[in-house]
Amino acid sequence: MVLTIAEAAVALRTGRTTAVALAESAFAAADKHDAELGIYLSRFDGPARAAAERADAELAAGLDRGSLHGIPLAIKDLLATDDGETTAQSQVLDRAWGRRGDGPAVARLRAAGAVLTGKTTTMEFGIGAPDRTKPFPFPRNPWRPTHYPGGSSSGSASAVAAGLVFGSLGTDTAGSIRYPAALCGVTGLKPTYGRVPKNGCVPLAPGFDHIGPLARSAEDCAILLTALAGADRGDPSSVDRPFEDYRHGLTESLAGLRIGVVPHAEDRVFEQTVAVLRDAGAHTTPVELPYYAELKTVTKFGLAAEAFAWHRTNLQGRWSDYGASTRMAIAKGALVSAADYVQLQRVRRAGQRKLSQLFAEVDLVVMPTATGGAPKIAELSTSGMAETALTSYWNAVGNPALSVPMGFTADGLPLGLQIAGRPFDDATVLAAGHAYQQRTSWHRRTPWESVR
Amino acid sequence: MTVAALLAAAGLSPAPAEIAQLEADYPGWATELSALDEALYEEPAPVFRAEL
Repeated sequence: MVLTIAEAAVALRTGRTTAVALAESAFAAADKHDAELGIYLSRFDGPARAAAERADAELAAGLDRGSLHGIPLAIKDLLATDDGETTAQSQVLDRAWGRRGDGPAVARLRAAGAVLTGKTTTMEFGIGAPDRTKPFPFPRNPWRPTHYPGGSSSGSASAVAAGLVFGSLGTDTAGSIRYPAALCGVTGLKPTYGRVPKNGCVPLAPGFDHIGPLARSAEDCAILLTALAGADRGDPSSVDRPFEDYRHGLTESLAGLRIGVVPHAEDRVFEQTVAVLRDAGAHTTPVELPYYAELKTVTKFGLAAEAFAWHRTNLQGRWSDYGASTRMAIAKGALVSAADYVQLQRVRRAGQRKLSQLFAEVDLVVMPTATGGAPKIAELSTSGMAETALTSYWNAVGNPALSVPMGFTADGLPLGLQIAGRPFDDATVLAAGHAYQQRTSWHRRTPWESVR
Repeated sequence: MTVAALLAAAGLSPAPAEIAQLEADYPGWATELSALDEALYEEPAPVFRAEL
């Protein structure tokens, strides 16, 4: 399944395939790869098959719900769905919480005709590291199963990379969409904070959490964001700002666009990528992100403090039911004082102000998504992941940030380019990703072909 | 307060090895957090507005 959503949508309307055929292909790919790659926590084959049959019948009757109609998608298991329980990959989460049914993000995909195939693996509550001692699948990277797919939207990224689905939903609190997207060679968007409502999603740190899409291309992420965007009364942090179909802003040229480049030492792939952006017409200039270290600190400790607030009662009574890395990561929040938390919020505001000055001089900022490719599973650590992901700055300020595949390490593991923009200018971020993908084919590569 | 006392005050009961790990990490975290004070030297205080 190497088609994009946009291409599959055309195939559905020209009679070259059916929604049922796409769903059966998704099930077959899951049968083949899931046991090794640890992608699904639960599969919805029955409801998905019924949804696909419904999509075919609707399309045949002339009812066209748009580009997602009949398209198989997977959902990270932090988001509640009508089709099955939500676990947050934890033995602690109240199962009644997971029986709430679709939140607005999932409901909007379903209303757009998407076929939801199942719930994908994460880290417990989206934090910590994979834990072999708990009764959940262990996620592995489709490009090399001895390596980690990234987290916490692990299964959502590897499902797209391995061709199990055309797209998926993930969540991103410090990089959990963009980091696995980069490590799995797919495209992932953290929309602007507030662009997509989060009710119906198990919170990790509400002031930093985002829901967003993963797919093969920036165009597909534009299609998904168009369905997902818009305020909902159930999420007071969601923002009621108008938006157009994000696909309409996609062009092949970057002419006139000013792109700030965050220097990254001796990175040949990144330098080549910036050269492609210049060839597409962009004017590039080196920039320094204001309050970079401080805003990484803000996400690190703000996330821990907010997560601790949500988990405190359960941690007090059920410490050992949590995975070891999860409970230690959240317990860090108990050591953040009230004064620290106030300072964190002040730095967020100061950082936003300085960053808005930078975005008066440039339209976008680019940098690698991570310092390298996927780490070996045998060498995984929570702190190691936090050091290699270059994503958490953008959670502190809330700006949109996209990761697109930009090549491979010397030993054949995917690398990601991160493109960030002004708040609520997700369209320009997606347009730059799309223009880059019109000039490169990294997003077309699959783990089943050699890249060496 | 010590790390162990802060954890106890929060009602948490980590194993001794886990407390030792948090105690080892804490000085570095405190340094990171105190750096925010320096960054904010000329920044205004948090703002509260009565109207929504």
